[in-house]
Amino acid sequence: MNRDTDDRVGSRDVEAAKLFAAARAFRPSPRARRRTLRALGLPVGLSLVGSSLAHAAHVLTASLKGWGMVAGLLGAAGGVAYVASAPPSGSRSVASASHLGERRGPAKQVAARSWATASVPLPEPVEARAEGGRAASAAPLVAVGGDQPPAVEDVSSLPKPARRSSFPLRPRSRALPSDSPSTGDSPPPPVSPVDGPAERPVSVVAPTEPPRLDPELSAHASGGPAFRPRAAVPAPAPPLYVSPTPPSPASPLRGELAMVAEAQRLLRTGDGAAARAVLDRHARVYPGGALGEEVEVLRLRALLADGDARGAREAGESFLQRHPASPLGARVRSLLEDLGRSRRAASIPLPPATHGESL
Amino acid sequence: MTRPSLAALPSPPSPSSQSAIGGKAGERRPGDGPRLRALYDDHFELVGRVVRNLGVPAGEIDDVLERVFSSAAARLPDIEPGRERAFLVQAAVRWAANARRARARIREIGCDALPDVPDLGASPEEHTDSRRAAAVLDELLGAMDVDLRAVFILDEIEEMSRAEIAVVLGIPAGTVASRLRRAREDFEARLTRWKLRRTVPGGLE
Repeated sequence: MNRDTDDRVGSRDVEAAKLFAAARAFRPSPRARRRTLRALGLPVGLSLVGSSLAHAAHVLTASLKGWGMVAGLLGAAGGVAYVASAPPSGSRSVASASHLGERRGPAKQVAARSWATASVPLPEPVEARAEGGRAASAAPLVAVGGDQPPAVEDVSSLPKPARRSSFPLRPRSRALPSDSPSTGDSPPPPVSPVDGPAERPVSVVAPTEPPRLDPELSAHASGGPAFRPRAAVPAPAPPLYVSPTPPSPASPLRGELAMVAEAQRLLRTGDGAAARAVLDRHARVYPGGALGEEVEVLRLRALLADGDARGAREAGESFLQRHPASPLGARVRSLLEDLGRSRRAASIPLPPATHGESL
Repeated sequence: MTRPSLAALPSPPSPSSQSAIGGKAGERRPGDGPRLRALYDDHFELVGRVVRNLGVPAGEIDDVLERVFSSAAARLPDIEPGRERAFLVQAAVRWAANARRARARIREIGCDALPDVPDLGASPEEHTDSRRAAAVLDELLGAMDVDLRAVFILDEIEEMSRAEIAVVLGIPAGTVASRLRRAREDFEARLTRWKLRRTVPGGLE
């Protein structure tokens, strides 16, 4: 034993020891793990539940196969199936659908669409989860035989085109600067950036006044066609920055993302203070938001950009303490390392490089 | 020269039987699940390191690992309890040698990793060090015969004793000692040259 270790190149040569240590640190990639687990027939991650659900889906679709039907398994709890009559080629879709279900696991339910011309698309999994309970009670199984397209009665459980209006990238222009914004016909009014509640001053330039005060800006922000009222006042200075996706209460994540993107952009320009201002606003508007960790790392970088080494170090160490398992931990550590390195480099004169090298 | 010893290894997962191996995992017996799980949990990282440090290109490590473990799953009843590590390491050596040979035959210009596969492993900062070290190690060990290299990495990187190496590779202890001596001489000579090349600007070669 002793002879073994004494003889090792790694115990005699510093360079070799470094190389071997790095080689020892190699870990197979997550992809390699997944592939190997799959090859062994072992559950990959959380797919234990998944395989059983996929199995259920398989059994269900297999039992419906003879009908030439497409079954989409919806809702994690209910297993709500929308069955649409299909041309004979439908059985192929069944096979592929169940195949998909097995491969992608249970959380993602199969939503298959058999009628290429059907005007009512089958619900997507997201809706299925969101409306699972209601749909299950209203119409658990819609099965229509014959050649007719499926007569779906419970339209409310199906995805509506109005779903897009909760992410109003392009609100209808009539909702913009008219004097009487008509909200009668659409129960969920399109949430335009200017409609946001006043206590959420999230957008940099979005005013909280009625839209007609600033038609140009709102037209710009909404991406819609420029609309000029008859008595157009001279436009104010163009906005410094219009967040590409104005945050709306309906999609907090979108709003958070917009803020994070804005802070990143400001950081790239080197403006740490402005980035911090955006991040502060994020903390006010979305306390406990989904991107809290990202925001903390951005704040750390903003502090670094401002040259506040002590603040950055404190922020980083507190982050690592509170989120020891965060995927961003490595990033924070490397930022802190860079900080330490630059400080050391500034204070301690390095010995001549050639001395430390060989042996 | 050291090739004949390969024939003595158990369970040669030869390339021709690859498809058979792939199909075997399905016909497992009921009791195999926990044993496969233990196989994976106990040895996956070790086998991963061995495969990597035997010089399998980065883009093929996943393949080789999958094949190694598939072959173990297929031959699970033949593996005596307690000999799992030996089986896996020997299979890894075979598959790694195979991958290296296959690569040498390929005339296309190789690409170490698929460019657009997201790698969710270590961060870029962690990668650079180990990548650089891996490249240097491959440069120094690249010309070494795979059997020598296997003994060498098990000794230097996995820090196994000679007796362990003999068991794991299924070769006599004397063979381990002689291979280790040759491998170390070879490695040290290359290491010296590498250091010189690095410290002298422009290099010597």
